[in-house]
Amino acid sequence: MVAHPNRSAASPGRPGRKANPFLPGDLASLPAYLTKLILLAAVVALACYSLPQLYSKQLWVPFAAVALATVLILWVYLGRRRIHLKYLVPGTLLLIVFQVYPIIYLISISVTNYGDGHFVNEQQAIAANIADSVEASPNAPTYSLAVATKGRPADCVTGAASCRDLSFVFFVTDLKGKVFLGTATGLEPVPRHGLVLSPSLGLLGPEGGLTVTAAPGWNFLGPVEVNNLGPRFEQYSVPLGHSKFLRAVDVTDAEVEQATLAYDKRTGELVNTSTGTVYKAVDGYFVPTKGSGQPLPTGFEAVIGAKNFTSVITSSEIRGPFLKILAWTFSFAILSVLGTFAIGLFLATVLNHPRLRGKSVYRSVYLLPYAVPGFVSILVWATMFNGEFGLINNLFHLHVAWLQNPWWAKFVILLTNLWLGFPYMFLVSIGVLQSIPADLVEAAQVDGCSGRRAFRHVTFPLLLVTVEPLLIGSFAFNFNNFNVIQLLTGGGPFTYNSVTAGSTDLVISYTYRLAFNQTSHEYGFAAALSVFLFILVAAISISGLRRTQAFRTMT
Amino acid sequence: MTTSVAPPHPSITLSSRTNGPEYRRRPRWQKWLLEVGWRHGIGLIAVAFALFPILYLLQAALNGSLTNVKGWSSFVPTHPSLHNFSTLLASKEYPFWDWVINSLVICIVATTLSIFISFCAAYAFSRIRFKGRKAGLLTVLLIQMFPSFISVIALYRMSAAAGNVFPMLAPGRVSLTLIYLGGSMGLNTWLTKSYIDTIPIDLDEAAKVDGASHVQIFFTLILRLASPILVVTSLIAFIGTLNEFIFANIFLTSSNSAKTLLVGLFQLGNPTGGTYNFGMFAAGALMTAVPVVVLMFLLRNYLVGGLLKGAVKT
Repeated sequence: MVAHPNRSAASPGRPGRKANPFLPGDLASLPAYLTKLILLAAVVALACYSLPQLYSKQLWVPFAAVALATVLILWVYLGRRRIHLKYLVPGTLLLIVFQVYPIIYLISISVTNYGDGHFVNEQQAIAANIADSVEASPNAPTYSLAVATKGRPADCVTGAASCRDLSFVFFVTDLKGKVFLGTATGLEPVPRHGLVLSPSLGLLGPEGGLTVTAAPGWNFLGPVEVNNLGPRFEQYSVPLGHSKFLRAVDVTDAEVEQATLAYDKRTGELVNTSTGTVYKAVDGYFVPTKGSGQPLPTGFEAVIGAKNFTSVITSSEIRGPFLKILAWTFSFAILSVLGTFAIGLFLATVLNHPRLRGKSVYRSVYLLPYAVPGFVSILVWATMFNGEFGLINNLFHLHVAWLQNPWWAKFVILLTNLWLGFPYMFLVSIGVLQSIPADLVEAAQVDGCSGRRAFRHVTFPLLLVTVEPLLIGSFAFNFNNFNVIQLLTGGGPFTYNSVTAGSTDLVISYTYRLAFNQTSHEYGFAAALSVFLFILVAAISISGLRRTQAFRTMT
Repeated sequence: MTTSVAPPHPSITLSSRTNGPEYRRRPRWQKWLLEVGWRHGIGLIAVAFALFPILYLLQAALNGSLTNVKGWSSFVPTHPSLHNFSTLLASKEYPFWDWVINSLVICIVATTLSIFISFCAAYAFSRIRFKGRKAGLLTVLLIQMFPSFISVIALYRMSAAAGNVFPMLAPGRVSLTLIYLGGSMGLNTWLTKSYIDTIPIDLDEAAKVDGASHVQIFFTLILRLASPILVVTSLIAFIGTLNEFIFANIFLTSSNSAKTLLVGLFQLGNPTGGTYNFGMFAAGALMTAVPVVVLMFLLRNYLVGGLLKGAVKT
């Protein structure tokens, strides 16, 4: 390598210099080399931290992925060659973990019934059903109950995620004053040392029963906090063996209960010992083998094949609303693109006049709707069109329930999207118009073209060449324009015969609601819809891709 | 408004020549109206359309209460006060500053890292010839068109499962930022690559002759010369992240102080929600929007250039 100490044209701030022969790698300066070392050390440290934990939990796939990624990173960055990989590895790893793998995973969820009533695996579902089938056994002893947690009970607010994760235990005391600790694994006696006991407020109180109110290392929950635990408290079962469980009767008492269901390991069936009904696992449910009784309350996650996909076609309950949503999704995207483009282009042609003053003022004002963060302006529009106190009704003395009527709601959505989208189209159009050489249009006019014809046959085709890929991009964006729907109408209004499918739902917002609703979580079906959406977007994208300059130059 | 207009030069357009005789007969204001004036008319209608929701937002933020505002005065703050601002900022229930910090940290970390990562990829694609380059470029182009929220269900389950082993990765601010980072490669890699293509390769060669390594060329030469495109893509990525609702809404549910600006303000600005308070929403929205709008205006010339080349607003 030849050094030119006086040449510094390449980088004004840094004169060229010789590669330092004493430093390994491609880096020629010490700070840069140290940075690289520190970053690589961090990667190794991360691997050393995570691998043992993944190993101990026997998560082999993540274990292999982390190990492979670490080896790949070290292999790429410790060598002198493979320069292109040094620049591509970070992005590619992220791409695989957060884009490619989720899509494969999504497809695997879409063939299951994962969702409400099917959150656990088969073994857990068997255990839960047995624990749920309990009945109070005759002459069962009653215990005074206290609920304790290692965490701070104050964090637990009904329905909050922190409350769902709060793990708790039972402290129970029998009539003789013996204290036991009840957990999900069983019941064990607790030495009295360090415990504080006070008279029970529950069933055993009148008989002189005691209850634990303090124990070292535990925080005890008050009645309100126990109530906040909801079904988790009601269904909490301490297994005692021989199908017996200790369960809460109310917030201050617990009793021993006997399960009526028994699991037959040989046949894999659940048998009700009192009625003799046999339950068999079918498609994630435990259904009675004879007759047409109800399945057991807890199902499990099971592969149900293409049923999620075929139900869109076979089930008329789903097909009707879904086709409506699909039709509206297409009309919304097409109308939005055409509307914004028409207005943007019209404004651009009107204002692109050589003797018009204040062009830059107009341009700045039209930038505003684009510059204000979308969510802010959408919520402002939602308030303006509110039927009770909205600006529009107020100004024009109307009494229209804009967002409660399916057609008006669609109109408001399109109008809002027009407002949000026309500045982009205007900026793009006026940019292209100004880049079209004026001689071309003049030449057409010399040849006898009227202004309108010159626009139609010269300016517009030239404009379209540049704008077409942007229009397709805009279509794909609006096809999945979740924000404008969610923030304006939330997909609504809803009608009697379709409670889950709203009149203004796009496929994406419908899918979102099926999965992340307050009351229902149909992940499997929603995943199937996502796969469908994925295929649609792929088709649109590929057709868009073929038109881009980038693609043309490549092939 | 423009009042004085230069007399039309006969050679400007051919149509002005054919209209010549009429021009002489008509008074000047009429000429102006026919050629330029009506354009202002249309322009002003569009200005009104563009501005009225923004004026309404301003008014709502500055007026103490909405109930005493009727009719056209809805566009003028009749009782200007900073009451809404002080209520929002003092509120413990709606921790505005926590939202600002969450949004800023998430947006800045996600934008900076993902722009850097996509720039690295763009540099490799533009300057280095290697096996699989074409296939890689096509993949990037395709990925750019796939919105990652299609797989939101899978990502949520992945995050929940990872949270069982590493609590940090459970749905929350960290996992949200990671997911935003996940889209790095698709983020305008192609656009940046085309821009780097326009930087003469002679500059690289000269630097190489001077003994610069590829890292030095990358950091001191290409990164600096490509700064105009980086400004555009960063701005668009930042605003896209700020506007992201789907992931933020389901990943940030643990407490009100863990939310981003969008999810936090949504509680106040949703007319059908139980906690609707438009005045407070408007105050918060204004404080969010003003810095963004100012940034956009300062960088508008870069922005329009970038939009034309196909920068995408996610």
